[in-house]
Amino acid sequence: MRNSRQGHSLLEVIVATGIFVMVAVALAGVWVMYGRALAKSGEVVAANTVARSVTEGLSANGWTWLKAREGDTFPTDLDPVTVERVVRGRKADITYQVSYELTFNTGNVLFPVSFTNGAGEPVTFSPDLCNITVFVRWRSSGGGKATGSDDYNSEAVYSAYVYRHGL
Amino acid sequence: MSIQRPNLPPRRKKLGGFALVFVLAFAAIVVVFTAAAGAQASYNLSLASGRGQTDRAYYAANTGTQMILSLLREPPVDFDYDGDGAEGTWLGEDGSVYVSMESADAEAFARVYHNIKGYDHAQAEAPDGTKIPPECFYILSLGNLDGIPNDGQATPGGVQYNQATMGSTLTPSYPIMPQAAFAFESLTITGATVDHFNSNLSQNGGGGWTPSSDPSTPTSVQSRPEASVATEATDDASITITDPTTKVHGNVLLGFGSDASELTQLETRIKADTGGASTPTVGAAPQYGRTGSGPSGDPSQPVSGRIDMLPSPKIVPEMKFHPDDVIEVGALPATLTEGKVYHVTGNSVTVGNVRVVEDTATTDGKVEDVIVLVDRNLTFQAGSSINKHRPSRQLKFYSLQGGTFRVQSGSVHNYCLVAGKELDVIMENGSELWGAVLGKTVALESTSKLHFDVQLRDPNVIADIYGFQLANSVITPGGTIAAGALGPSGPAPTTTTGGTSGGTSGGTSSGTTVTGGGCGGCGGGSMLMAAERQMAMK
Repeated sequence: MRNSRQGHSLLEVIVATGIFVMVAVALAGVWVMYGRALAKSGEVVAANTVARSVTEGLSANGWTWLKAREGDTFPTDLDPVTVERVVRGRKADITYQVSYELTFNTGNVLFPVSFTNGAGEPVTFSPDLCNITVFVRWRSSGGGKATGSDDYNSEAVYSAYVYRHGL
Repeated sequence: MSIQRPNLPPRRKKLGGFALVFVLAFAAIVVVFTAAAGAQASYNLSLASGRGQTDRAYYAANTGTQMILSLLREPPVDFDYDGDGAEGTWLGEDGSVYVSMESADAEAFARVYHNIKGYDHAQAEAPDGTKIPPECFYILSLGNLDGIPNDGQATPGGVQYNQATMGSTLTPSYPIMPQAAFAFESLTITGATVDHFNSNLSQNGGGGWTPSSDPSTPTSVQSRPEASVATEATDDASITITDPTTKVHGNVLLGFGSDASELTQLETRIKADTGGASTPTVGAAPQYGRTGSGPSGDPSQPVSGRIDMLPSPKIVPEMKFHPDDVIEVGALPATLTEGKVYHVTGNSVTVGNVRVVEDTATTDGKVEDVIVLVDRNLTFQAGSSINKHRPSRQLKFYSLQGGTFRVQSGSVHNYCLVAGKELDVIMENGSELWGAVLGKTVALESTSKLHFDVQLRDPNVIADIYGFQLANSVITPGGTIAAGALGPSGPAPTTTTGGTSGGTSGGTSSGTTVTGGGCGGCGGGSMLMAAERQMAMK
């Protein structure tokens, strides 16, 4: 009679423990997911910063520099960008593979739909237009399948048109 | 005496389930914390990806600006942009553009507005409320991600995400010269000829163009009053036109805001000073527009056009260039490389022979314009050959501090523009200049000839000739303009709220392939681009 007043039944403890374990196990997975999401946030921010920086850098080089690249093979790889970071006390740097592509409007290739006026002259756009596309790829700790043979599973793509007299 | 045990419930019942309650409470707290952390993580992730999307929307908006700039400076051929069955210019009938940027899953809508008084659709305020400075263009562009097009290929407001609206002002890098001669203070024409030609037409066997005053020129061309002269002053005394041999194939314009009485007095005085010839009439003078527009004049009269006033005050840009873009020289070289800005130091610059040549590094078949800055005085020598038989726009002189610009007698092969706010322009007897002049005072002496190139006031190429450049931009993440407000030219759109139903019909877009809805008349615009869009979506 005394024991029954002061303690818990075995069943009670087992049920409570079971519930706690279930909740803990379920939440553990969620916490792992959150951890990955937070890590991915940092990766995405860094990737976008790199992409924007490269896009601005290419534009800032000026039209003459861009035009001189016209014969290059694209996409052109730039030096990888490594962002240092520490995760749970461990060094976990992430490396971004950066490449860019330039497409000039030679022959109106950027605007393939053609029209002609009454005189049969084609309505075309300036050949002094260039489409800059920047690709930033990385292996995300957030998981996901690799998009190609290069083992990168995340990508940020920036695209901008620039005009010779607009730079 | 006995003590009875109170009738309390069994202790066991009170404690029963305590562990369960405790665990459940603890679990609930953990769940709440987890949810909060999850929400934070989710927010962080959306913030991170949102920033990337905003960046991409920004570049899409910037693309719209760049596309408009390219179309302004290198206009496409005439086409039925508004679908009315008649061909017209892109700027006149459309003014908008749409670009699908598939690699970034983005699209750009843009439209250009202008406040160049005298041209069609001039407006002082853009749909976003921005005041457009006089003689400036204003580009409104919108970058949009994840738009959901409807059946008409339009992207109605309300389903657009991550917009970035960009407003960009374009200002000229050289004074706009829609008149043959412009003086801020006084204009004097004494027995001189002011006529016009069109550098867009073929030359006579490569020997130059035929001006409108030449007897061989068809009457229909002679009668176009396209070589106007003007002053900024509002006093009729600021213009003096004398001598019966004077020929002005254009209008005579006093400054903006002149009284009607001044115009009448000017008319009377010109009539008297030119020997009682029939008079130019007052008012309604067409001042801008494409070649041949407007009513005919009478080329047999000293002044073939009308007397009127300027539609707006004259604006002269500051003519400031980045030092890296200016080539400093002690004397003007005989050949000037296209696209450059030269600064000739010294008080007086005398020019004999000079021509603009193509840059061998960029042989694209097109000769870019050259600007020559002089500090004060400029003289074209007798027997000169200045950009001979080339379009006047290719060579532009500007006097920074003012002085005298003199075209000496016998100096006839001068194909250029000359301007200076403090410049005194003197064309001596027997001299000729093909282009236009602007100064504080302008004096055209007897038998001198000023041939105005009508291309200089063609709105379709004005942005290219006067080097309109991006002056400043304002970015609004989140967007304030619906894509539908960026339709073609026509009545000004009224809807300026983003993310709603759009609601404008896009002005003259009726009949185009894409009309109505939130996109309204991005149609037209984008008739070219809309077709591309349709293809891209298939």
